[in-house]
Amino acid sequence: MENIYKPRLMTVEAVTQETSDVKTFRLAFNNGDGRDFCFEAGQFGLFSVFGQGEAPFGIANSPTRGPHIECSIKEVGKVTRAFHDLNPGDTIGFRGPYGRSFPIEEMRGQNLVFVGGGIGLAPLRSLLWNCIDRRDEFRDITLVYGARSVADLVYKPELEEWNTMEDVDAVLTVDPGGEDENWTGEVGFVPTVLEKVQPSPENTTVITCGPPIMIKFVLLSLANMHFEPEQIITTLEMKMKCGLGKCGRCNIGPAYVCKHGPVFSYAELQALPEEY
Amino acid sequence: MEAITENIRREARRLLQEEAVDVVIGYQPGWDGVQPVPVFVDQAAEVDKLVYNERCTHNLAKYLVGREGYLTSRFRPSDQIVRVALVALPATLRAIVALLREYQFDRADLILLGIVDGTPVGIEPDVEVGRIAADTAKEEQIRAQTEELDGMSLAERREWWREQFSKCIRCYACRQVCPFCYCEQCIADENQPQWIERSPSLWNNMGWNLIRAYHLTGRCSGCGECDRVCPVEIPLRLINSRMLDEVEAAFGFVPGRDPDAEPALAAFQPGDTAGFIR
Amino acid sequence: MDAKLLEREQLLRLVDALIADCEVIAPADESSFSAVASAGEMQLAQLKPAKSPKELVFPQREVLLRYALAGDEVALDDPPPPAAVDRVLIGTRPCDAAAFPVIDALFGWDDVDAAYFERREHTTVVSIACDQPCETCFCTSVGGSPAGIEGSDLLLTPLREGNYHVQVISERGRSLVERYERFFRASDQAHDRERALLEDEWQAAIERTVDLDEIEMADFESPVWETLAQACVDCGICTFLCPTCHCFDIQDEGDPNQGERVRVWDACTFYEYTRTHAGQPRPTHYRRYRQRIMHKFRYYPENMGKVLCVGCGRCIQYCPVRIDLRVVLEAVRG
Repeated sequence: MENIYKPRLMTVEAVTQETSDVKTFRLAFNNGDGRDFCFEAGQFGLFSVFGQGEAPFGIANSPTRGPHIECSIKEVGKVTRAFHDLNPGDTIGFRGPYGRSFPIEEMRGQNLVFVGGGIGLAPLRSLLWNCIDRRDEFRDITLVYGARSVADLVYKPELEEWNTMEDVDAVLTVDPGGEDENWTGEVGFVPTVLEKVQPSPENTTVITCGPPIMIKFVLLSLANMHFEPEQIITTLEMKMKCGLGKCGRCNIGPAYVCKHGPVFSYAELQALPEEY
Repeated sequence: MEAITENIRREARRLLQEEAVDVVIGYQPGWDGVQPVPVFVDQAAEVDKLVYNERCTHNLAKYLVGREGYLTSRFRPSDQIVRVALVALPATLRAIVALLREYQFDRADLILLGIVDGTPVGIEPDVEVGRIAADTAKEEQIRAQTEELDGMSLAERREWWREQFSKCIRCYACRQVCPFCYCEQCIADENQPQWIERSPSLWNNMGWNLIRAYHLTGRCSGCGECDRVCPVEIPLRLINSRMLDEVEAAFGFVPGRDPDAEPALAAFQPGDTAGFIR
Repeated sequence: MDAKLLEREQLLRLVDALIADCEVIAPADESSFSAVASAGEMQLAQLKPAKSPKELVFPQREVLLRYALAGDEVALDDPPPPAAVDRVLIGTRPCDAAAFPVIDALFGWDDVDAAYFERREHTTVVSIACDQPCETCFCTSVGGSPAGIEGSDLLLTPLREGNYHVQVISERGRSLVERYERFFRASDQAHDRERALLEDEWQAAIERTVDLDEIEMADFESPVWETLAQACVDCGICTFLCPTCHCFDIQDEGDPNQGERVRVWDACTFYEYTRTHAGQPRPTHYRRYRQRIMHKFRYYPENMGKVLCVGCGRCIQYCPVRIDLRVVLEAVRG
């Protein structure tokens, strides 16, 4: 019988330094291991460095832009440091895809507003490119994205690309004090800038991901703009180990973030205890 | 016994009514009416919950320290002081002396309702609520068991302890009930590097138990709680008691006895025998 | 259901015969179940050891895979399959036996844990009913019984005359009885009736019961959690001794060149359990305690249809500060 804990082997194809502590890894399956592999935007995997450990990261590229996988990792502890020590050519382990993806089919015909902060843009990026690649199925697409400073923005080349796209409205911002002399975007916290953009709640879905403090104020802003909790989608980060609903670690209320999430609507989150 | 219970209740009522303390930490009868358990009384009307009997063994100093300790909590605004009255057994009083020497809290934040047994201790309780007999039976048992072990050859003794440590399930109850295990990041929980692996192999279990024994050397108050709570009955008190003897023999130091003495393993004296530091 | 009779001395002879053919695991001392070399090593007089038999199917340390790096090559190997040796677990109590089907649901949820079920397949559970529940037992409050059959392949109920009434509950149980039929005798309806009467008597002997209505979500916010958990010291005793607790951690042990990825028991009562760089959702111990109770009595039943508790009472008996789960459950109901 299949060993559900055994990862597939992947090779690091490229490493991009996004910010001082965030790197994006492009990974390819070894030995045709990825032949039957497919995933949906919003899903995650358990990535491992052998000898150091395993950790969950969202898959940051769109399923329409494979066959490789990308993940963006901030260096904060033992396993993430081990990732940051990797070079192209190194081998890692991958288990997945796990979790519930973004409800892309239900978003068809909607206006989409992506609201991201810092490295929270990673899961949003997967969905954003996915929607851009299926552009006709959606109405307006807006991106509101910010970070503490210009240096902390991730996917900088793609931010420029989205900025120049005609059918995507990208509003980029940095926190007050985070701008440099070349900055031409907004200056202000993401929730503030979102209120400036004033998206209409009619036929609109908001997808948001970022630091908890940002999410908190984004939700307040959206409430002020009369968005219903069902219209707001987010993705949760919680400590995980197995990704299979067995180790218990990601359990919040009756939900297991690895199985019932990591994508949740705000309405679903309201039904859960605030332990995330 | 009843007199001690009455004294505790009287003092607790007075301290709470006068608002001299925010909480009284003591013992209450447990669910079975037999085994008392810790209780935290913050209303004068509830002091009748407090009891004392010979089954009260928990070292309540544990609740003062650490990440969530009443006197050291990380989760309270730093300008908010909590004043505590503590029902303190002889071992608890010894622990308080050592904890004060480790600068864990201020003497002024604590009112000690002391139960003394005549053994030397380096602190005066604020109120002596009771006198009990020193537990010589326990001392005797430990001495007898230690002698038996000393009578074994080194190989036999090593085998005996290995058998004990292989039982360990790393529940860390020994650590959690101990007033001296207040480190916010225990070495066993450190993963950069992973000094002690989590899995309960003999090697890892020895690592855990022996490191804890060393970290307690010169500090342990001899309450015996680690031994009592171990679910697989590892005789931990034999280790800690032996280390107390060794420290006394080597340095003339007994933790909890003299509030001014430098802790044996935390201070260097020019006459110390360890050559490596000269 | 088929029933047999097993005379008291025949039980010991049966066990010795089993030992000749397979591994026999029984309460060996006050702490644990382990393999016995002769029937005389079994400690059946005690109610149950401190550790539950869950480690027979869910070991405290289990290798998930092995890795070896040589230059650019990485080799991953499955661990050797758990010894496909048949085992008989004898002397477990109905509560411990009932725990197995409860956690089967989790280990088989969508992704099937192969090693777990292989061990389950090769374990025959022969339980002995409890004629004297202890003060901390509360199996009847969670749908169990001192003579319950959930999770057992055979149940031995001690009758008044000293013999055991044997209920043959499953195919595995039937095969054992058939293979060793020389030790068993026929039973009759009088024995069956006596067994049923004794079960009623023993159920009534459980002093302290809890009326276990579903804990409502409103109870989550109840201020009483803080008081109930105040003395809790955040050790892992309740979790590790519990026959249904199953949370685990996954760690790599070894060096970058070779080693093992292992699974080890973990406890939601530990501070480190949900701590990440991003924060700690349950920083204070009453929150962790609340999570444990809510998970066992509300979230698990919602997902799996079964309460994650069999009423064995070890959590009460061995808790360093004697927190009584029955008191907690009564106090937090809406």
